[in-house]
Amino acid sequence: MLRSTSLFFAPFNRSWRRICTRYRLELGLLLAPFLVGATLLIILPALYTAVLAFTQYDALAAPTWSGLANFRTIFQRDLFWIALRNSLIYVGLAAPLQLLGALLLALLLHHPHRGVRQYRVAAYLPSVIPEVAYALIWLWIFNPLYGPLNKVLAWVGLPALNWLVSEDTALISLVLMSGLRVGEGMLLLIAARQGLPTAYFQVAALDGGNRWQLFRYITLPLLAPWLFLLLLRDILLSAQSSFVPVYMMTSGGPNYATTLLPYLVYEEAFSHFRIGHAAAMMLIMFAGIGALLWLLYWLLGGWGYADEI
Amino acid sequence: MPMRSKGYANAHLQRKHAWRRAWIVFCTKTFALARWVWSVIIGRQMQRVRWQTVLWHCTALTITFVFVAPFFWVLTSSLRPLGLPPPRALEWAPQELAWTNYAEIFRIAPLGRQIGNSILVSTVGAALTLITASAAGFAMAQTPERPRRWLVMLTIGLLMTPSTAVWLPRYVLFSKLGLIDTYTVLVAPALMGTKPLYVLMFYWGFRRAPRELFESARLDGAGPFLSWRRIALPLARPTALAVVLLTFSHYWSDFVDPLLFLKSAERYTLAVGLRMLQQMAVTNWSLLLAAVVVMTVPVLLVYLAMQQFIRSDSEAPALFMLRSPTQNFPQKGNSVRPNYVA
Repeated sequence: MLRSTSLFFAPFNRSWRRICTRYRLELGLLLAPFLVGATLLIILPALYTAVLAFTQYDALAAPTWSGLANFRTIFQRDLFWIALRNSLIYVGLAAPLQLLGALLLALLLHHPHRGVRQYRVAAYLPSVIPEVAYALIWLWIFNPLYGPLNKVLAWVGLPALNWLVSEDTALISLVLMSGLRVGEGMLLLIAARQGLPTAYFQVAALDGGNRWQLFRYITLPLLAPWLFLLLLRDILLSAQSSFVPVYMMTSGGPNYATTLLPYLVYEEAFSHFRIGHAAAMMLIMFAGIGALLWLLYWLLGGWGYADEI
Repeated sequence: MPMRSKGYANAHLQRKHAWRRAWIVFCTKTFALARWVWSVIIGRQMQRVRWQTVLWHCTALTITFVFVAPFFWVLTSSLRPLGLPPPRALEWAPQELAWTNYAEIFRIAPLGRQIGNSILVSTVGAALTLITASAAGFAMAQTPERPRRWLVMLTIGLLMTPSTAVWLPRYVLFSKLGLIDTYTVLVAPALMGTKPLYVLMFYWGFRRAPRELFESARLDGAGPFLSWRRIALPLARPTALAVVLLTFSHYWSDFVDPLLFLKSAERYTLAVGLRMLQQMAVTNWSLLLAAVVVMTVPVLLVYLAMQQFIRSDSEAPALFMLRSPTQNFPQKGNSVRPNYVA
């Protein structure tokens, strides 16, 4: 009697243990599709990419081991360095631009004024458009002859630009276009801003702080962890999300001005079937992103928040 | 179980009262508007309007204009008649509306077929994702502390893995399995819940539910399957709806997967179809923009539908994986639910 009811002996009770095992088994069954799918579709492929980087492979014959030859070859090609430079410029401009846009929008639209919901819906609008449709829309907007952007510039009295056609402005155009897709960051920062205690702002206002000081010494430090996470996310996303715009709008652009790494990888792998080269480039790209994220983490000293996930 | 009866035993009575409530609200608003108009006419201000608020509205309106104007122009330009020369100056509305453009794109490209394919893939993908992601999220929420922390870390790690890294090996894998050029390839990510983020959303949703519910169900002899299906899923209805809508628009907009893994034109989805149309009618912007509108409208509808419960159930921050689930959600003795997004 004692043996079967006392909790101390519960782990040694056979029926109790059987029920537990069965429960865990069923939990495992529920989790299985996700784990199997993630292994098959993400973990193994990511590892396989790393292996392919050291092989010669053309999708027909079996891959053969070639050591560091792929890396030596791509380092000697100018195209790789051009794409790397373009990618760095793109990420370096697009990620801060998106962060800044999200912050400004959030600071404006966190007030509970009447009609603020409609403004938020409008600001979120470009973020929900499908990538392909968004690229086509901007291809039309940037058109130097028929596009509305140059007409607006003419209307204001500014000179027309050649946008995607010119070598100098093509990359900037892509950055500008990505700068409107800030809806998710905006929502996050609005939530973060509304989570700040009002008392801080009231006390600072009583002490005679002006708006800039309130922002500089209260809002900004308290939002910093969120801003940092958002910056990481923007870097990660903009490093790889440039494929569809480049593919749809410029195909690498006038004189390789918009050849970014994801597009180059796609060309190498699926047009020229130099899969080893493509994998090596991808490996370098991810090593670069990883190093950048680690550098940011190290510079800013941790994640800035220690909540349980 | 009947759909949300809100204490009414009688569906007819509920409907009648709903109409009555709507009528009362309508009358009150109309009366308030009339009173305001009257106060303006006789020159007496009901409320002092602060210039800061006016300034705020002006700024917000300008920004709204910047964000919405491109899409307005897309809409009007898609209705421009085909034969006209391109406009010389900024054109706010075309002279005449050519609705035939929309018929024309369905004539020159197999858009109907492609829309059918897209709907098939998106629907199947969203349904499968609902099952797999919610099951995984539930199992994660039910596992004990230590393995759970590992699972969450693993999921976040998966979230960080760039999608470009898996293009090539997935191609190799699918061609080994002989799946290239089938619909199966397109919905394959649904096996793991499409995106790890959706699993995490379900996990947070289930963690918010009181633990006692699941514990008592377990004491009554319910296995995980039963409590997942009968207790957890109905509780997490807002999360489920959000995930379904997000997944639907993910598969609807997906361009890279069909581009890489499909070969034959009759299986193309609308995203790739748009690319084909672009190659066919490079300079014919009216047709191209009409196709863009056709592709965008379903996603916009889904987005507007999501607005309904983003407002009611502060899901928006959870969409971005950055907020801890225990922080601002109702706990014992704290029944006030903060409203983040409007």
